[in-house]
Amino acid sequence: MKNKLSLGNTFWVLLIAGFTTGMGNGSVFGAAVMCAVGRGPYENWGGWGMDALNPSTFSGFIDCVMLVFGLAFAIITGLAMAKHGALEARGQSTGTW
Amino acid sequence: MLIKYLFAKNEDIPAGSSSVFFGFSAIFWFVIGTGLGSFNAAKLAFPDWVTGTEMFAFGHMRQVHVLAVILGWISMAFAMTMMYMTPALGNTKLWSEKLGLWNAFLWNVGLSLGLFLLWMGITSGREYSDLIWPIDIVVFLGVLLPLGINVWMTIAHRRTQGIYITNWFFGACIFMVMVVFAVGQSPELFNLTGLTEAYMTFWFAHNVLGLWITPVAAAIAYYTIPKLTGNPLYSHRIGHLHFWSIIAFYSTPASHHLMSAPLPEWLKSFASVEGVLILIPAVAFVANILLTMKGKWSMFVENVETKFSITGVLLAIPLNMQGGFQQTRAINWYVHGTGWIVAHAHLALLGMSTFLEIAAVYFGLQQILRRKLYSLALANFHYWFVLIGFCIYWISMTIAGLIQGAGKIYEVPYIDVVVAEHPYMIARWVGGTMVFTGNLVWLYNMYMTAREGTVVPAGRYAHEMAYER
Repeated sequence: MKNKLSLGNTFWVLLIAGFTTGMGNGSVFGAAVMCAVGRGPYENWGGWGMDALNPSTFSGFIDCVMLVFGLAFAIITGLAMAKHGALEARGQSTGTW
Repeated sequence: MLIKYLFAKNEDIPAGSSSVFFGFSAIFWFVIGTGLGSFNAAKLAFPDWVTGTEMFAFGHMRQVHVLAVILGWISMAFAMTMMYMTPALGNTKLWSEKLGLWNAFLWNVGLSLGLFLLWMGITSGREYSDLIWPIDIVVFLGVLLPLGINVWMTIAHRRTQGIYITNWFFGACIFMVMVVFAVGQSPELFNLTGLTEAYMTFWFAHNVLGLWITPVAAAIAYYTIPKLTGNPLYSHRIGHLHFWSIIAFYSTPASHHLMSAPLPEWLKSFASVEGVLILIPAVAFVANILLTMKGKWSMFVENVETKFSITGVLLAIPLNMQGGFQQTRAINWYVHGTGWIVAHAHLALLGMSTFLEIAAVYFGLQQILRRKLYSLALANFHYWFVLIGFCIYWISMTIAGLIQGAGKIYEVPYIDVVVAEHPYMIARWVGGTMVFTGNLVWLYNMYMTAREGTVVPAGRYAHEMAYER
């Protein structure tokens, strides 16, 4: 049986739903860390047009953490889906599922 | 066409009529609610658009948007699912189809009237409790009470020994939302003011989410995922852990909305700890559903209802991570009163709960009407437009919230913050408009399903059938 959960089949779902899920977790992790370890002066808060993605700034750090968490969650979920797909394909061909 | 049954004998009304009435009403209100959301977002992105008319002012339209979505789309979708899931899980018929139809009719009339009054500026002036007290009475007696009676009596007349976890949630959540609603609206009746009014208002505002919207959405997933996949629920016992931890931990976190208010410090700390404890039911729910998918993960990419359901369950993870920690004092200090919270509220209502409800409405309407979905392509279009639209909305508002938080903490001139967040307001409008467009397509697709969908034979599920057109 064919693995229905190949990267080609799951790519867009993971990119959108998986990435957003990871970004949500990253948002709160980033905010917690920045609120706990340092807030810095206004020049370093890192909003729009102010090195928004510079990880040394407040918002820049959170934005970067969101992207990293998003990517990590998408990769983890993608690997898990591919493994599940392989198990399901094997299970269907042997009649155990 | 269902109106004719309002005065028919109960036994002459086809089973599922009230569910269909609620289902199409819910989709209709979803289109209205997201259309208003798109309109409001356009006003924030382009401030010169539609000015000079009081009833189109943002302050009027926002209330109508919020309550159209909560009472129209989300709660009616809940009623729709309760009308078909409760009897199915009790192996019986709905206690009274006639009461269900009157319930749906009064709900539509009462909500239309309430929203019209809000639109005209007649409001109690309290966020989320905006409706004036005569409409509150209509909501209690015409909306919540009949719904509760129908669900409780159906459960009482079940022909199964136990009560499945979905019905535990349905029965309990209707009772809890009745209490929450009655208490939450009482400041207007008793002229309570100041901190008492603020606390009671947010006791309602938070509990309508924590004891109604998110647990009922989860209860729906406990039905749809086993039904769609054919797998039994992974663990009924973990479902009970979910249920009782909601009851134990999640009834009084309301003051985490008022962390900067002069409420007693112990109350704020208590609420904050309870807010973190939401992770227990959240992990129980997500784990239970994902483990139920064992062996059927291919349906995540092949079946549109499963796609909606699992996306909703995945979105419950960041929802509860954010919800659990953003209300702690350190983070709340930064994000309170910013677009971050708006993004989080939409993650709950438009993300987790809406995706689970959409799946249940798709599944339920096909089952009751015995018609296969008119167009899978349109359903997939709906999925992607709602998902991408939501993601654009959520990401742009989260980042805009961080900008606003910085502006607040560093006391940046307000107009500078407005200028800085302008691009994100445009992105928010684009995302909201995509959701609205997807819902218009959904309404058309379900209307055509009722008229021209392939007939599903008795004993089969719609998603098992091939298209014949």
